[in-house]
Amino acid sequence: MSIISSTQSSIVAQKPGLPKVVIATTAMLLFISFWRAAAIVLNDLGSSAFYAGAIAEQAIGKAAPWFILAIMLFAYAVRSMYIESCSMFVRGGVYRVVKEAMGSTLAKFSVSALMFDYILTGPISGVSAGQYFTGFLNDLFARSHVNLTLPINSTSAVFAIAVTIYFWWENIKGIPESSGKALRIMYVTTVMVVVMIAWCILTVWVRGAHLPPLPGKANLTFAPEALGWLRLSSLPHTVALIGILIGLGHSVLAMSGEETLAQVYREVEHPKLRNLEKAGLVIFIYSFVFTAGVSFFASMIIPDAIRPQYFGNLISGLSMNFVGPYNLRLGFEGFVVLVGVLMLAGAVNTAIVGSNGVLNRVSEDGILPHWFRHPHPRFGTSYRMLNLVVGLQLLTIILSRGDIFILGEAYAFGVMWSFSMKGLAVLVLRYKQPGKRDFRVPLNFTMGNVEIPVGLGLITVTLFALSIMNLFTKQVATIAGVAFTIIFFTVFEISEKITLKHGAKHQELDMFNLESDGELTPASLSVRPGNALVMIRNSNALYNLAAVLDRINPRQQDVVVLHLRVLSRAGSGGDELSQEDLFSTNQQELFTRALSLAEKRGKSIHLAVAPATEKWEGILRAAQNLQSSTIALGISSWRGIADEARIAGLAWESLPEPRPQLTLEIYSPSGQEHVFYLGPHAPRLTNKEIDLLHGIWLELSNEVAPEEIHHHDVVHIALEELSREIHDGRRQEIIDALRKHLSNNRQRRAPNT
Amino acid sequence: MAEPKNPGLFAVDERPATPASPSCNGLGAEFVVNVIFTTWHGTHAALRAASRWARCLDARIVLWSPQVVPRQFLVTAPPVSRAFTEQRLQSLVGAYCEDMEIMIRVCLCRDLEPCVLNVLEPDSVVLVGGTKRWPRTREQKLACLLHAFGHRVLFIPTKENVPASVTTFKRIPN
Repeated sequence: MSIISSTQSSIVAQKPGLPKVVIATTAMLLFISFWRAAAIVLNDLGSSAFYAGAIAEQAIGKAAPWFILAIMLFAYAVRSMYIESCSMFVRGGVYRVVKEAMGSTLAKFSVSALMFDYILTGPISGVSAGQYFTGFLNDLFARSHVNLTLPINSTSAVFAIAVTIYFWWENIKGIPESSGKALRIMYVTTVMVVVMIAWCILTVWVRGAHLPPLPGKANLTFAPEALGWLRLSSLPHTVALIGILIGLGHSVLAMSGEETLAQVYREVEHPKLRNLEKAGLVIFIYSFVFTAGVSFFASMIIPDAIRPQYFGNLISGLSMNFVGPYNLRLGFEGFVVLVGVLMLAGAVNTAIVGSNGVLNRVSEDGILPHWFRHPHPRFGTSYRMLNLVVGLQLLTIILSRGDIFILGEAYAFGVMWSFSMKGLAVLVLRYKQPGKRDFRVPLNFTMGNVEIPVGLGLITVTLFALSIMNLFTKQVATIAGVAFTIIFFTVFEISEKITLKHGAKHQELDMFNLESDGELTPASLSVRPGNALVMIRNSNALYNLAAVLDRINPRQQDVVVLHLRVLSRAGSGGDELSQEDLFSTNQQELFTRALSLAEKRGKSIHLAVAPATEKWEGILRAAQNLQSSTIALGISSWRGIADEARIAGLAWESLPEPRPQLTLEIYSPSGQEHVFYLGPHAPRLTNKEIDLLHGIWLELSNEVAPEEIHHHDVVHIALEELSREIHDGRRQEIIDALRKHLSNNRQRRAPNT
Repeated sequence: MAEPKNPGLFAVDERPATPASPSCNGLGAEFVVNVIFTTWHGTHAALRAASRWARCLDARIVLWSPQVVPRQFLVTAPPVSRAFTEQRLQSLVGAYCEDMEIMIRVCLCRDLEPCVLNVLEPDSVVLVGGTKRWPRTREQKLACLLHAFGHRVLFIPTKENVPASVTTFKRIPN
């Protein structure tokens, strides 16, 4: 399935006398299955399984796996908050949703926090990959009796720098990144996870093991650096809630990567929201088993005495402590390292591409100078943004000197504040934009006319509680995060003011390529005969398109969305219409809204604009040329429905032969549908009429036996009789009977209307 | 080259500007030779071969350039600027459009293979240029995929003579 919204452009050559080079750029959005969507999100989310458990245990002790478990469960709730925001904004990341709910200032704050998240994702993933790689090399050296041990942190830092520079260069060149690649990485990762869990179970079965201690007050042993400014206070040790919040605050890394869900939503196929929920469930099960599983099994299998030495590469430590021959374990460690490097290096790339994408979006919005978007002279990419992002990432790696725990602390700042702001925005929107939503976070109650969103409120309060607790316990993160956010926020503010001063206002409209001078045919629009032709004219009244998209199965029927430019007869003659005459900004906005509706439902539409001198002539000509079976339009503000249908019928009679059979559907804003048939068609019989027909058939079938008689034979005879009587002088009698029938019908319907 | 007045909207006339000359094989001017942009050198080789074929067959050349846009970007706003891509492609085809029209279609997409499969008409004649070796290159894999979907595909290796070394996945009917 695809939406083909064509974009811009064309360069028509050149010097007189030379042949033409025509360039057309088309954007093609292919909708993806929920499996593929889940794979894309898991690629980002799953990478944190390689380091989150160890970072949490280092900070809060042996009870850490329970906190990771709690965070994975909480992540499911956070995901439902994302699903609600996706149901409202198809193209909504943090920036868009927060801006819609709470205005531009807080949106800029959120996007600054998100940038901090992206900037940190690269270094933490690169360093983590380096830790796995270096650990494996050291194990190999030991196995080969080579007397060499690489320093873990500095080698990891060098590795991370190398990976970051590699991806910087690839992004400068403009490398492609496909969702197919994400799916393949997830296949390999799944193999690793399955083998790892099976081996873990075998090891536990052979050796026996104990679950990690429950997170009671006695079992929470905070490292001094895990308490930050609270280390001088007794609160973490005396107030259980504070202790738990600190523990959770050190485990939140496990749910980083949720923002990707908002990115993929636009491309999820129909039924969009249900598929997103399925993707959410797949992500939950997978990350729950993988991330929480790693943390629990590591605690159960790796002896306490040696576990700290594997805090940088916990899964490697797990594989080296399985039961089985050493070489086999080393081989599996190699596999783990391969998968880890693939996922984590992929996350480095995702971080660079993601921050480049965010900066491009805010630059388009005018809150970052256009200077940043200047294309690279050789590769055409926004190299200044890439240089800025990668420069900050390299600086971060150097400052951290490859210490994964410092990076982990800092990383949590961006993750938590962007989540918190998103949660607050969705909560605010419950009151600012009340009304119907396709999905709501559960647990909603109503008091009078006021909705109390308990579920959403609890999620938001928890997110803010964790963010605020992290402010006190993570000194490095707080100082670095606040400084970074203030700098970015200030740049955004100043830049926006400058842009506004120059009067440039960004309008978020899709761009369309108008392919002119062609007839509207099924081939020119790549649609099948029997398609539904939906007429649109007002971007605020697309309810007819919404209704058609809701009921249509795109595998069986295509949807053509046509905007008719009705021109006065005087204006239609003479010169040919220019593209600007036919397709102005209004039409661009109209088509953008139409595309947005289609995207929201994950269904294809094919857009077209055509000129006409008379409305119904234009519509029916288009339907005839496109071999449509249905015409759907909204109710007219100045003409009654029956009158509209009558005029359509008259226009149909003027069509050149062969005239198509068409179903005319007129929708009202409430969603009520009025159906009319244009041209000869089989009537829709009422139950009473069918009973009458069947009764006559029963009566006559005995009379003509053994000849076979069908219901249509009865209709045939009846119609011939009626026709004969009309022409045999009983015309007036029949017309009177017909009038009486219509009058009876009207009286019967009156009480209902 | 004039900039469009209304950004985002510009007319594209896809039809040949001049009537086609009499064909040498009776296939007529509607015959289209599709070239898929792979690598710079590969596409050069494919275009060179395509231009010879197109002259003989009175065919039109359509160069498809699928450009994969990461999901972090809007599909309509790729990280590589559109103007840059179009300029680069124009300079690429410059040498081959002396006596024929070449249509360049840039397709912004998320995944290369589904995009190419979607844009090509059924049973199209497709030329894919690239390096030929074992294990198979991305270009070879693409050619195989297109062949599997019923297109008539010719793989043009970059390092060998053209068209003597053309690898035909399916022969074009005489």
